[in-house]
Amino acid sequence: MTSESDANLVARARRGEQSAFEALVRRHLRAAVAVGLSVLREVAEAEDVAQESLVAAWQALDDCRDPDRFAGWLLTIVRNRARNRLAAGKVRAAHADTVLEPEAADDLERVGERQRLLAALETLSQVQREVVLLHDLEAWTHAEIAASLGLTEVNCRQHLFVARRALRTVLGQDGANDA
Amino acid sequence: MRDDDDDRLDLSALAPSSAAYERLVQRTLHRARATPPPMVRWSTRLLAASVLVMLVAGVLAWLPHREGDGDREGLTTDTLSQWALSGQVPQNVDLGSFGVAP
Repeated sequence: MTSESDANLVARARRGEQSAFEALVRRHLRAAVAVGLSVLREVAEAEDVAQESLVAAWQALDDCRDPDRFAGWLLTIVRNRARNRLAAGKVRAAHADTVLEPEAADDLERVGERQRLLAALETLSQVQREVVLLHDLEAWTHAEIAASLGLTEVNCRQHLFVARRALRTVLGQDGANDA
Repeated sequence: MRDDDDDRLDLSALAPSSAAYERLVQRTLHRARATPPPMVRWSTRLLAASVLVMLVAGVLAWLPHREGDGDREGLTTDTLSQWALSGQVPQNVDLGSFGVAP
């Protein structure tokens, strides 16, 4: 496992080192998908916009003014591109090359749970979805999420609290962890 | 330090499996490879800038020569040799073009 900083990886990627870009992809693709999911609410679309955004980031690395905050910069690209897709009505367009592998690798129980969670996420606002996905799925801290979204940490905690409560109500958990 | 861990929701069903994640990574890298890396773009810009500088330098080097063509026409090696041997300024040489008063 590498502990090389994002700033170093960005510097090397700027020099054209594919291995550095690969490390950035491996480190941040999951969060990019989570943010895409918070906007688009569709896994295949989220994966596609995350990939597209990483390639766009690769092309525009010179524009990343603070390489230490590459993640925040990347997620802004993801958010904007996802919103553009929504605005352009491109969501749920044909995606023959989607990476989503439901029946093949996932068991039916997992697919069902995924659908249940996606439906529950629909009840939240976009910001609430992003906060809860980054915190509870990607294990980001409130400080990291707040910096990425331009919120205060207090605000971030409030969004998480409200999101969890709403999700638990919809999922019928009411405080119990059913998974 | 992670906060609010005790109350964490289990959203793991939304995460891709490790195999699916690896495929996602590879697909992203494949898409990136299909586009020129930053270094190539930077090199292209540098090459374009170099060509531009060379063109400008060429034009600048050519312009004074053109201006002097009329005055120094005929100032060949033979003329210079004759000038050096005789000590006489050849008729087709205008010393004024050298900034020297005749």
